[in-house]
Amino acid sequence: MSRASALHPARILRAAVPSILALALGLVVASLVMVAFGENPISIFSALFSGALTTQYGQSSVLNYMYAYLLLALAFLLPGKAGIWNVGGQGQAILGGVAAALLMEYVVLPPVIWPLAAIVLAIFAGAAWSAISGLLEAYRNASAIVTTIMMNFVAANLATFILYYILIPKANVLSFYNEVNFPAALTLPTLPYFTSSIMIFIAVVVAFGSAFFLNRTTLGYKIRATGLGSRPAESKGINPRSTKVIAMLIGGGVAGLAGAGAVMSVGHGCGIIACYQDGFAAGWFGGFGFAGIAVALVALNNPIGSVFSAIFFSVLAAGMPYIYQNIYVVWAMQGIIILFMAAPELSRMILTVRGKSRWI
Amino acid sequence: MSEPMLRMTGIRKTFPGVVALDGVDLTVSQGEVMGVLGENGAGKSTLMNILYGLYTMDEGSIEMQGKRVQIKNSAEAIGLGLGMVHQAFTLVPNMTVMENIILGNEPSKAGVVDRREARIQVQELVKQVGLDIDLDTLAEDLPTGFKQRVEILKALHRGARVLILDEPTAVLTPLETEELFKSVRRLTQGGSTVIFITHKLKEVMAITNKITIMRRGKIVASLDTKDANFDILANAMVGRSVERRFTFGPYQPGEVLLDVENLSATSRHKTEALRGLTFNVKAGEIVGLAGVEGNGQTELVECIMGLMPSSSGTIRMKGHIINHLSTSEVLKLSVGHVPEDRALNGLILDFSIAENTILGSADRPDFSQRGVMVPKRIQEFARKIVKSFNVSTAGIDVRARNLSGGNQQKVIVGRELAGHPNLLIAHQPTRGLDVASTEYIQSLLVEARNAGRGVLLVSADFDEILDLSDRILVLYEGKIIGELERGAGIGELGKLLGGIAAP
Repeated sequence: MSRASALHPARILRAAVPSILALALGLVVASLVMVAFGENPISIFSALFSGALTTQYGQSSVLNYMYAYLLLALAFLLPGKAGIWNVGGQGQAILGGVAAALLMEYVVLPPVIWPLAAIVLAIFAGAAWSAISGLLEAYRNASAIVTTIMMNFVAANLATFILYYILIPKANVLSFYNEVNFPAALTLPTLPYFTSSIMIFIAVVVAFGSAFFLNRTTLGYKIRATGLGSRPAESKGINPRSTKVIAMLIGGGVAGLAGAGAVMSVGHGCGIIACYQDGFAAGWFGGFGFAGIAVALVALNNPIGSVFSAIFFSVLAAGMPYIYQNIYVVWAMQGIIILFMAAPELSRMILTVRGKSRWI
Repeated sequence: MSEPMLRMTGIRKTFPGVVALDGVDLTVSQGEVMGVLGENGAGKSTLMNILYGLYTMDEGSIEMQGKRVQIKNSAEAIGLGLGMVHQAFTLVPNMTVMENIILGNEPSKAGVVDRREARIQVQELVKQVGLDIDLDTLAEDLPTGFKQRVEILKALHRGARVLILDEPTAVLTPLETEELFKSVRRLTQGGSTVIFITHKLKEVMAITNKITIMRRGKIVASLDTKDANFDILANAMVGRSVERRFTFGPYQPGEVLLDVENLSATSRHKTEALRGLTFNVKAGEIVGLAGVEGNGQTELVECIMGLMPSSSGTIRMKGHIINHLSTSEVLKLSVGHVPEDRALNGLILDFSIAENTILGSADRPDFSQRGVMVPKRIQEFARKIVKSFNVSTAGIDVRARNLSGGNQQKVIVGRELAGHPNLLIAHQPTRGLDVASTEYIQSLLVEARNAGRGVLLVSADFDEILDLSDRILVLYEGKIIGELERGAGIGELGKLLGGIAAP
């Protein structure tokens, strides 16, 4: 509704100030850490950024990280708009991936329909997993922050069980690191030049779709109403409980989609059975679920903003192999950025000059 | 008494785009009760916040007992002997009264709170000012009036000689208000000076020695209370004469809209909130449901609106039983609802005005098609509400949070009346509003009644009930204990409110 004014460039810029400030402070503090350790921050950062941005491997890697970061950011922020905290994107993505893999192994369908069915099943699996926490919060007052975290562990262990006792025996993998490819009909198309799949497009479309959904549809409106004021919403006939559950289902579905992307993409994503075991064993998704939360927070829970913060986080992650032993820098930076974002009061204080708020 | 206790001269304060205070002078002598009277937004609170060091003034000077002072923050204000009691209390709920009073100013020995010394100090203070209170009760167990008393004692314990009371009666029952006035008199007899901020004429007449009236950031009148009367004050405050004259059409009640029979309900605190309540509301009448708060009003409205289950009895809307309907189903039966607390239940404060006007009706075909909202229509609708209900705002994209209370309420009432409901339930529709907004909202209720709608007015403002209602029902401990016709006196109502049933 307030589209015209909300899209005003000055306003967008103003809204992005805390995020940009946090990112900049992250770079500065990380540089100081490097200096303290006797390293040259300029050479480390140039290695990181040139690795991620100028090599083919690095660029593909950016795209690969980015879709997962972005989708998991959306999985966090969409329920967040209804006031329910989905910290369970990780588990929902894992189960989405497992569900897609099970369908691919056990059901044979015509081409095109086959991968699509796998993706749809992954979305439903992610949604179903999130529904448990959503229902518990809406109707039994059990905080989703707690239950989604617990469900992450359940999901990881359930996935490991399915992997070792069902999928790997079924796929007849001889050795753990054998590469047994899925049928070609099942992998997602790969981008030209890059070794990454079209998931990045899907993720960006989902991000813009989420923005449209939240701002322009009646369901999105109800979700925002529930998050910003569940009591006035309730007194006008919007059921905050069911709305929260629906928002959670949507978030879980988006996470499930990320999981499907991970198992169905070729290149150095996955798309090979062995990849499950490799990934799962190491806590599959390497903490993507939590990185997604950071991406969303840096973007102040804005779906379009998440696209940009996902780029930043992806570049950091993709550049890590290029700075060798100095990867601690990236962890430190991510931590610092999250710290600044999570402390909006702090940023506000930094931006407030003599009691007159200039930016926020 | 040669130098006044406090003199503020030429105070000016601007906020972006608004001149909040424009050359305000205020002089208060020791031992007097100065009433600062004004509508919401007149600048009373801004002035006091400057005095208390919460805002910095752009221009002007403050003197205390003839000495020029600079007050940069509230700690300095306290140091100068200023004490402020806000509307919202700042007590620590799980500390005792005594602990709360000494908090921040604890007598100590070697870094440890000296509780014995503290008790002696506080007991002496209590005795000296005559504000009786049990020092060992937990703050959370105190009734509102006593919480306020603790706040006052806390300020005095820190050495306050000038006590600022910001709308102190807003949260009090009439009896508690009377007690507060007694306390204020005792304090001034003991030499304290009190600044009493309010928009209630009766109170300012009852308790003050001098009255300063503010309007739009300026002092418009300053006079001794003995020279004042309601007309003078109201005229000065509003800038025109307050005449609560509404044009009532002839009283011709039509069909029964809302019919409540033998309704009982248990509140969230597991107490019996409603005990066999029976009444009805017909088309073309305003039924005033009067009662001291906490006698079941909230539960009754929630039961009707499907926000809370009833335990027995029936609620009918135009003959249909609605006990088990959801809120959205009840609203579809042409029921409008102006909820009790506009900021808490009525509006989503971080939504724009436009977004708030479609709360609950986003699914209507005028506003959305196949689940996608049509911004143009919504904007049109919001503009219509803003225009026809005189909401003063820079535009429909302004967040509800940035509207004054009166304008917020206009948005809510406008939204509810725009749906042309057969029945309008208005719960405390004018609480905390300034005189002009109150009158306007009330006139809308009367218009709705004249247009043949049924209005259930639930209010703890007894003037409002008496002015507007065709029939008055008195709610006491979950039951209707009496019914009065239009023209009943406040005495009759008062007895019923106190639980003395009509013969």
